[in-house]
Amino acid sequence: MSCSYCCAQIPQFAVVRPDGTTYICPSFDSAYNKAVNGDNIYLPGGNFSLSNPISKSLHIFGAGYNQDSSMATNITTLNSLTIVQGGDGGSIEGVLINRINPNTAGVIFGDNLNQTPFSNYTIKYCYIAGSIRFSMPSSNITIRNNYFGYAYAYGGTSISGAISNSFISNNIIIGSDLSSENPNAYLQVSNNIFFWYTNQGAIAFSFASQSTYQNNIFQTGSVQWFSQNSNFYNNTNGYPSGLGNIYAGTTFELFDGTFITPGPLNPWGWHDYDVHNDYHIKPSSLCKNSGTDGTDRGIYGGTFPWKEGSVPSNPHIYFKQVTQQTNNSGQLQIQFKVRTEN
Amino acid sequence: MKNCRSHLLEIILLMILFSISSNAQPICGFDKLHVQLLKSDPNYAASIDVNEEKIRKYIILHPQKVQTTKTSLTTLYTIPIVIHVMHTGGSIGSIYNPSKTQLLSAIEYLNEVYNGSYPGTIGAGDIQIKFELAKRDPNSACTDGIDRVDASSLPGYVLKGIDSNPNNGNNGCPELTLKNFARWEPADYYNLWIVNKIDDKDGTIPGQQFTAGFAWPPGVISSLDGLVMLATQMKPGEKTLPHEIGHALNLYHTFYPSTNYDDCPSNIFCSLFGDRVCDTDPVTENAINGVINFECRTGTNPCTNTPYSENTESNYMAYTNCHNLFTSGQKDRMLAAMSLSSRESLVRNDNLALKSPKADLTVSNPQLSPHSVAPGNIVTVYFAEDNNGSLHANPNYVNFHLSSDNILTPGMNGDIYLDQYFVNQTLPPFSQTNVLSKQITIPSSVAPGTYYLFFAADGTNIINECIEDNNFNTAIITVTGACPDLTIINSTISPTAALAGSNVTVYFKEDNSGDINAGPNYVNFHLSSDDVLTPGLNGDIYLDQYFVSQTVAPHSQTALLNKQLTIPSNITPGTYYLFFAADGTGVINECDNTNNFATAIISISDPEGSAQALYRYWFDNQFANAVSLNVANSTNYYLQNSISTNILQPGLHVFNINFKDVNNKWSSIVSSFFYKFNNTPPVGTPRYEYWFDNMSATRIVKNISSTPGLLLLDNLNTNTLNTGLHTFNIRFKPDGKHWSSISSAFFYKMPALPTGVPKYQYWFDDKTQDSVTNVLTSTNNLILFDSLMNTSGVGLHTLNIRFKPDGGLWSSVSSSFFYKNPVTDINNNTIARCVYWYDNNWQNPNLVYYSGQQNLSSIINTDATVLSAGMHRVSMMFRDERGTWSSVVSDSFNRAAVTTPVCPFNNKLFVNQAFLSNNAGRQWQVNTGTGFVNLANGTNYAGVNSDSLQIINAPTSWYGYQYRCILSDGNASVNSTTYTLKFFLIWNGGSDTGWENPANWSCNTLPDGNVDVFVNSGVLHFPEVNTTGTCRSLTASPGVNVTIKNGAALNITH
Repeated sequence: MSCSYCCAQIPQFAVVRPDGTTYICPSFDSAYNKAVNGDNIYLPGGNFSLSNPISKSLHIFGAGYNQDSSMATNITTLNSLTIVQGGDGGSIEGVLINRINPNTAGVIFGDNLNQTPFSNYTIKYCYIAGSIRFSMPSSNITIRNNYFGYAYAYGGTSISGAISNSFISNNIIIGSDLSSENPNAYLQVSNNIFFWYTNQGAIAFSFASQSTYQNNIFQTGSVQWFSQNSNFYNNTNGYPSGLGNIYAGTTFELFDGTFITPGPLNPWGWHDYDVHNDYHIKPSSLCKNSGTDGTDRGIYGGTFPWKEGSVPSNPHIYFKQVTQQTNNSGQLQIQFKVRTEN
Repeated sequence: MKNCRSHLLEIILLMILFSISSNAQPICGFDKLHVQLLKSDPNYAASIDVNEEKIRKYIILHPQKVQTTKTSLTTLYTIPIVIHVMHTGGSIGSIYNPSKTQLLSAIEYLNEVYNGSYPGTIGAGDIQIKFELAKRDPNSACTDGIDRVDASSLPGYVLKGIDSNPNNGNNGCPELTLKNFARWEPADYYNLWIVNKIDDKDGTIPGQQFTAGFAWPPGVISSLDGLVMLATQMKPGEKTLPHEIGHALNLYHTFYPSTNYDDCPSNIFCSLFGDRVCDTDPVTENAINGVINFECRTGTNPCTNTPYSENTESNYMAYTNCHNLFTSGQKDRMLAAMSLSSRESLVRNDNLALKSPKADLTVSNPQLSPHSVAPGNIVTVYFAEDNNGSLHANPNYVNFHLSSDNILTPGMNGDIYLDQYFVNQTLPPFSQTNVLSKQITIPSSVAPGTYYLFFAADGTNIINECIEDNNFNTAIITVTGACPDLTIINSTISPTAALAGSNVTVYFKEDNSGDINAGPNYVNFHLSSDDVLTPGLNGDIYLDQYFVSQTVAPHSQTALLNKQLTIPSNITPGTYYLFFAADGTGVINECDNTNNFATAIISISDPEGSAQALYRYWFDNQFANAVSLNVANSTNYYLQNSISTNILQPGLHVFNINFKDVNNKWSSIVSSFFYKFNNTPPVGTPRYEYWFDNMSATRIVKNISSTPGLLLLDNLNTNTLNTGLHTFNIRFKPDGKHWSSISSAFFYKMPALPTGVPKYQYWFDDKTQDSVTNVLTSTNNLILFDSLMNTSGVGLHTLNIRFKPDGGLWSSVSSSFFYKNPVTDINNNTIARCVYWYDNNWQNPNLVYYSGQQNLSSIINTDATVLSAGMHRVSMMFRDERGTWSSVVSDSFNRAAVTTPVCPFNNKLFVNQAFLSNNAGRQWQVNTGTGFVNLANGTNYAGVNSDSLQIINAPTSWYGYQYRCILSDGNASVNSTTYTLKFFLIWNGGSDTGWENPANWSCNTLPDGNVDVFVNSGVLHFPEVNTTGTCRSLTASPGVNVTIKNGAALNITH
């Protein structure tokens, strides 16, 4: 498999082996073809798609999805992403993942519920514009520090399908719910914020049975009865709901009383999500330091606090300047700022 | 009560009409309307999405409901419907104003399709959803569910009908305008609008394709909800109505969203794409440019490469003409649709649409006995009267009629009024009477045959009902011709007790209750040990027969007849039924052959019984243990004896005795009470005994001192018992004579104190085989704070842990997620290096090293003279100490013309661009072609141990030497960028054109064979070689002329 180079204007995809061997490829497809299990693929800023499903165990790093944070690199956008058998043990971060159309999910695992169970995949620091659909039995999935836009598909379900025994934390989820078609889902859903999506009238409820929901903040209600045999504990709700949970007033009262800067009310009387708002917990809020681990409820508590800018965990270039031409002596000046991440 | 025959002729005419229009080509308007609204109305799109998810979840949560068998025949939902007949002024029965009979027959067809009873139905069969015309209108008035509306005033309606597409330019009546003209509350009634035309077509032109109807799915706004269809399609056997109802219950076309024969729908997720049903294969719409082919397809389905399935080709939701099924998956969706708000409201209990506002009488469960009767005879009818309305029904009559067919026309067409029953009670709303009965005489004039016996509630029409034509119910009765009917009466036997082998005499009469003579016949006699005669079977014995030689006249009987019968000698003694069977050989054709039998009881004894006189006695009801004792034959016997009662328990008993003489005749039984005293004195020592549970065999006996008042305080040993609940049983004999009752009590045996080692055990994920067990100090309240052995593999893991804090039982296993980060000894991750390269030369990058900075801001000055002039691209990426790279960032730049070389041109300055630390040592090296060696300061070098190496007066023969700086702090060393020594001069032409003139060159130096030469445009003079010129390479900008005079030469060495 060659990794040919075509021309200067083509974006460059780095494939890095665990031993440091590096290949630079001109397209996501050629980088994917070059990569083998265990490799890292570093995507540049830009809008890309992958012709085939991911069937290798790869770690994919984008340049981030936040326009403010990724100004130097541009954000990385994938049209959609499908992961199938063989992709076990992989991860993706720092990418905006779109959906092909409103009826489909953006991230799709497998296509057959009868497939061999899939295990161990991580999605973090991503903007999921659609939803994540598990169409094959999948477990040990980590979904953290992501931002979910409103998911039209699957009745507005951000995470749905045959997912079980997985960890979903510190996400911002807009107007959608979680769902598992596995009657024994055993999900841990913690430190997320579920937003009401006004115009669509979706409700933020959760549907994964046999699961634990804790330290979440529901702008409306964690509709407990949809999630059979689950433990709703230590959440904060806009509706009275669930034992051991805080009812923090009506939905807009909840936001005003909970967050530092919840933003203005929209015309329908709700707070919409905006990346420029501050969703840290007010010192006066009952959510402050009241998580089950002593940290805050919501996205800034727990093991994986929300990271401003949502940049991925690899070194992040946040400034670059290359002089437009060399000087009289043929010297080129390159100026940059780069920061390590965790 | 109304005439029930009135619709027959209409049905016949309808059948004729159907055959005429059989080549019609109806299609459905659902797809276009649905897709168009999905695109134009985000609220509709969202509502459909939400409903889809609700349906999916409903099916998951209610598998027991949606997976009922197809033969269940249990209606789960009854949907009230109203039919708005939007006619154009025509009379009832005209083409656009269908008759009630036509409408009812269409609804009946719809229900047959949905309950699976329509002939030929396969697939899911009974959908368990029923449709019923409303009985109460929105004003709580009576209705038959048919709302006839003259819609001729609506714009464009008379000429064009309704527009299925507002943009088709048809100028018909807009859909919403029509619906606004006549709508009943959609939450209470499912609205059907029957229209004259859709898009200017009424479906009557043979061979013309037309839109026959359309319906909206749940989720559409209520003002649009409902079903629109052509009046010409509202008839039995025409599938438009069941098809559109399918849409109303959330079904899509089987080919959705295909629009052409070569357009296969996606079926990756069958419950989400296509028709959202998993037991229908993806298929195309069998159409070319919108022209539908209605034939059922066979052969290979191009969407699956498998044969076409009847689930799609014979589906009511297809366009084919072989429709006869809904699939189970479609049934699932339809039942799930009933949970959606706009459908659930239709079937909720408090919806009054199907509850008549007045009384509404019907007859339920009509029965009669016998089912076969001769004219002039009596039959008993049974029934209940129901009031299905919302008002009380006063006392009324239920009338009975006989009709040769299932249409009652009292007093006409041979239908006969029989009798009536006065229901002497007021029936509350939604109640019924108990089972009522009435004996009715079938008139003797009725000809033999099969008849409908009609039960007519409110037979005299004194109750004001909304619906009068549902008062009827029927039962089938057979009226026989004139016939004899033989029975046995006055049957006796003498003696009633006989010995086996002895003779007995039977007496009887044969009775003819029929209407004509019964000829001679035989009366047969049988013995049976039970009251069911099965001749020749089950031990039943045929004995003999009596020939009744006379003719028995109607309604007469013979004289008392008798016959001596011999009891078989080998019969087992016992009690028997002796059966008398009139017409025992079946020679008489009777009205009823089931009433020919009569019986008498006979007791048969063993003939071997002795002629010895005896008596026998027994106690209580223990006849089986009777004791028989012979006595001397005597005409007068006196018994005086003592009889042992040892076998009896103390208490009240009965003594029974009777006597037998030599003729085997027994006396009556004489019985007397007596009381058996317990005269046995208690023996033994005072004691008590106890045992556990039901283990009385292992009871423990302990002696005690005799006392009238025992106080026991003892410790009992329970070592043999397991932990858990037990029963302690104890009884006492404190006087050594009598036991007390047993006293029982529950007790719980606690577990033994743990003796094991306190410990805890943990393992990761499901690797129980790798569990780790650690010992604890025994405690009843353990607080564990420990670092556990790590697990392998970066990523999400589960920690499972359990405790045995007191060494006894284990706790439950507690499981928690944790995330294992990569193992690294780098706590403060910093940027380690930058690689950058030009254009596509990523395999030969330049390296710059960094240290100690998490947030790096830096400038790199690179030598781009190696590049040709023009546009280039520089790309770079950064690596941290943990080995993770950034994305690649690139930018374009122009490698401009080099115009200002450093003079003297054979002096150079290289700057180290690798940073390790300020304390690192620096050592510049040179590679002259044989490898790098350290440099020393001297004539040509300065600063060999600094960040800047100065090369002084280097001869041009050093062209190509490589230099680098090694940084080392004792722990590590890194190399700087490798620099290559080059020499170049620039033609400035400042003096004249002479190549050989040093004043025309930068640094006032002539090039030699190791010097690159650049000639840029814009100079005052272009070079001319007059003698011999030499250079290593020559680079000239566009438009530059380099002239070599005749006889001169320019040597370019590379």
